[in-house]
Amino acid sequence: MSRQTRDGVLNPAYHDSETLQMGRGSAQRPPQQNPYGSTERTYDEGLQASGRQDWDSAEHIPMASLAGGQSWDQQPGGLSNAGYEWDSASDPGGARAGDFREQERPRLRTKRSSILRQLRMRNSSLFFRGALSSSALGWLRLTAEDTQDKTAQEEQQLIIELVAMSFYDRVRAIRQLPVSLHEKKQIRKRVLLEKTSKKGRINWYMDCRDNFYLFHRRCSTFVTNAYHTLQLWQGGLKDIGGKFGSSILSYFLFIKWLLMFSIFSFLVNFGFITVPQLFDRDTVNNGTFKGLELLTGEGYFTQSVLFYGFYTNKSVTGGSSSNSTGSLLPYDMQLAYFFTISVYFVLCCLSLVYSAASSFHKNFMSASELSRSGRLLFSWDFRVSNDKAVRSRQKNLSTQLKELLSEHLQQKLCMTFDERIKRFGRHLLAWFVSSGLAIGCSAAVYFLCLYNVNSSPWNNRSDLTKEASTLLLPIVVSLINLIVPLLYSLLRNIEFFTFPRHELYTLILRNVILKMSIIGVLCYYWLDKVVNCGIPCWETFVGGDIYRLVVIDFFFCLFACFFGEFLHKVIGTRFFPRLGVPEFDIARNVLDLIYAQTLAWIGIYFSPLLPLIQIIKLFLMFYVKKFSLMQNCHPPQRSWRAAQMMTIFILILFFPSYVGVLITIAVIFWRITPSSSCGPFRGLNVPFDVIANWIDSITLPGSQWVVWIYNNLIQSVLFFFILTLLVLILIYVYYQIVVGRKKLIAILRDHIANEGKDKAFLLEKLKKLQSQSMSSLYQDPSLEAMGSKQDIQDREVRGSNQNGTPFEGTFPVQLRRAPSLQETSNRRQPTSFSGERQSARDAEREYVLPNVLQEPQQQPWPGAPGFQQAPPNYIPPDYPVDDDSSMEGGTLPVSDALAQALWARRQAEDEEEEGRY
Amino acid sequence: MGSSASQLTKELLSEYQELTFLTKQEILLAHCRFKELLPKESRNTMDYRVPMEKILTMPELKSNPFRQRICYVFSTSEAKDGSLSFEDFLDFLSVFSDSATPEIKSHYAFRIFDFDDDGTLDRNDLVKLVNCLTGDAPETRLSQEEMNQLIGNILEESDIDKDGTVNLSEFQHVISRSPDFVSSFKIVL
Repeated sequence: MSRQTRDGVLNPAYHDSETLQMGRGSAQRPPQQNPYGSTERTYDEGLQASGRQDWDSAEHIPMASLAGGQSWDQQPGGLSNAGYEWDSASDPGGARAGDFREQERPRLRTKRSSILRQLRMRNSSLFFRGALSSSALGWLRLTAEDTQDKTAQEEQQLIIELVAMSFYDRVRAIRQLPVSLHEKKQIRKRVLLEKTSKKGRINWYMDCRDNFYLFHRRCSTFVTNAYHTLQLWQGGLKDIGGKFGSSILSYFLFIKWLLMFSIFSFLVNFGFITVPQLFDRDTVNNGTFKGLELLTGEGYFTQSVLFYGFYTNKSVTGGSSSNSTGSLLPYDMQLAYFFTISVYFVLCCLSLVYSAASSFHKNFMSASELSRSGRLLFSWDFRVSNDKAVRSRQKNLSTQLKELLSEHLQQKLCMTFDERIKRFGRHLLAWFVSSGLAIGCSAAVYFLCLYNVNSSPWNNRSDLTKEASTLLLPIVVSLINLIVPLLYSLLRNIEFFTFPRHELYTLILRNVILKMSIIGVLCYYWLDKVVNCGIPCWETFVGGDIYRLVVIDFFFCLFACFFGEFLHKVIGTRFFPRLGVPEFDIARNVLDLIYAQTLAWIGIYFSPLLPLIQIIKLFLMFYVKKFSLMQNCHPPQRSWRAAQMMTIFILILFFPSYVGVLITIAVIFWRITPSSSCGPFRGLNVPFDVIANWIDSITLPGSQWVVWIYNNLIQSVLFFFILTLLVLILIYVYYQIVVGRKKLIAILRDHIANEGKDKAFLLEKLKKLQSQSMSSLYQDPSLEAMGSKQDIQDREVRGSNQNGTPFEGTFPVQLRRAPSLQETSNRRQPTSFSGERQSARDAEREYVLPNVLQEPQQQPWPGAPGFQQAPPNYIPPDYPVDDDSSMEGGTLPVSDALAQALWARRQAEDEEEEGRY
Repeated sequence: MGSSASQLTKELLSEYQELTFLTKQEILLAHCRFKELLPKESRNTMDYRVPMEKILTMPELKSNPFRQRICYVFSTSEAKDGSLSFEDFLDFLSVFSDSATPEIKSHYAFRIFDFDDDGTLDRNDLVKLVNCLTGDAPETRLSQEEMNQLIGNILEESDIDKDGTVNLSEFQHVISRSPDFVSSFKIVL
């Protein structure tokens, strides 16, 4: 055993267990024939006889070569986990196939630098052993000593590694161990024990770090606990998930996310803009509250903190200006307004980019290649707990799988030229209709706006009918938003999409175009027409418009819920059963939310408290939608790729919506002159002048750096030019890295596939060789010398009787996967032994490898140093035998034959590939 | 159940917090729910094992097609009867919680789907898995031919080393490419 440095890999006990797999058929072996003992003996003898045991090298051919790329490839029992640390350098001449690949290995066996990952690997094996049922252990014929020994070793190793970790890492590592809580407790106890016993060695740095992590952890648990107590709608979300699954749940989570967004923006605006304004007693509201204002935002509200116009442009000192002995520091409203809004948008941008990027990274980058069947199979929704929902889900899944399979068969359908033209025409028509509708709607909105702005007499605001007439525009816009998407979904009757996914994406695209063009028209109207038509306080007017749009949109949502879904259900269940119960349309609903959020963002400048309206709206919407969903709808028929859809929605929220808003706000800040009679920016050319004035007025000695930054960075074109250049370079570098990684991944994939092929091939070959030598055993009388024929026959009969496979128990040469293969062959060919032997002989006739068998090492092994220069103690291996009989005949050792056959196969493959190019 | 905290000492609670992915509230809630499953006379002994039949009556698990597998996988009982102690129960909730990592989730998913506990998903396991997913009703069951084709497809794309079975690393590879898995492998009390 001296040559083996990796006790896990070449531990004789370990091989015994492998060997034993062969004999698993003979389950009734008496205990004194404990394979452990018997093979241990063989092993020692073999060692003495030849100095080298080649059979373990043969055994390692597939595994060793796989080990680099795939360390998880574990045999039940977890013993082969050691392959993870397999290092062929410790086995100079042995694993030929391993050596063959040795050049590529270092690259493959990339540094698994993360200790955590290593731990997980190791402990998955640990766990497997613990978790295996006794029957599986018996199946492997592992003895209790084997496993206990190994477990103890690994645990010891694990604990040593854990002790070396910092507190934080250790907690995480232990938490991630896939073992039961009880075992985790034990491990933790032992680690702590070890830790305290080693305390004498004071490590100041480690202690400090541990304390810091402890503190950090306490803080974070406090925060998460607080968050969990505040957890909104926990029960409601659970109900929805239980009945409708994750896809619909994602809509409600989106509502929740937007709600958090709104709450945040409300807190920011309220805290930094509204509260200081409330301290200012110069501006007073003289209006009377009538009630209709709630709907229109006119009258009383125009003179309130709700809108831009009410805010002062002075510094708030806490007292009224006549009594200017205010005790507080002056608070510059202009600066506060400017900075609050800009900082809010920057924070929004960061959080949006972060969530979009992480969601994109999670759901698109890695999800590209998997076919739908796999995705369907492995993502059962464990949240669903309603009995009916489970059954309908199972039914849906079954139909989808069936469809998928039939689709798979029909996929080869080729279209003729005529059909293509027709299809193209249909799509063109549909796009024509949809764009026409969008343009028509935008034009209608534009003219309605013009009419609105021309007919509104600004001086006569108190009239109720006039006030109500302002509702015309929002009602029309909301109607468009309600009806046109329905028309769009009717277009599916014109164009027949082969994939529902395409249909969905097209629908979303059209809806986004519609909504964004309407908002675009509105923005143009506000920033061009309204500004130039001489309204005294145009910001408040625009704020009122947006307020009405948001409120009316909410009412239309309720309307659509009650009348759309409710009526649909009543009609579908009572009168036209063909119509069926409505399905919750996630795409449409989410787009509505995005539309509303866009409006709310634009409105923040004009109406700082608009987030409050948004909060109320979203809060009520959650309950209304939930109620409508529970009462009227049934779960979606098709599996919704919820995660990917959510990514798309966040991207939409970012790209046309947020970026558009940002552009609008930028135009307002830098280009548009604010109204001269109201609002914080009155009297300025553009709102951005606030900053210039402020910089000019800075006189404090310590704050010169602010001026410097403003002059040299903010106002300097060169700075932005260089910044852009740097960012571009960075992007290019990352792009190149991505390209390189992609190539590497492709290579590694090829590699794994190749290894897999090698393994299958070797298994095949091994079977052939086994059957071949089997028959030669029967034919060759000289074999008597090696052991009684009777003995061999006995063994074979034993194997066949119990397992139906004659080869087991005869040759310890074994590949890791052999059990599964044998099992499949068992299932496939439950023939009697004689039949099997016959077929084996047939096979032999076909597949005999004369040159391989007669001329060993005729070919030098390419790229395998271990092969070309056999190590000094290398002795041509002979047949490994599990009993005391040894075979020294004219037959070439199986390992060599296999290795050569493998090499021949690879060469043939290479030639084939060369021929292709 | 106001007195629920009385049984869980502070040290135990913080230990559980350290060893699982659960928060304090979730552990306390789990404790409450677990106590409801206990028979009246043994409510004060924490090491009582709740038999599998009792666990399966929980509304969260009642209709789950994998409920028995879940019990067997998380049970540490010597008798392999699927009974759960409180710690097993916490283990189960920890794996199915929001904050559990995808690795640990896929690890346990693999064990749940590995019906014969042999460490790989072979054809039989996949057949059972598909049957669980499509239900027992004759109209939803896949025919033999469809089943073969489906499993062929799955093996084709997930069995990277082409040995006819899906092992843990291959399974985790598949899971890493199906983003819905993490969000759907959750059970909340």
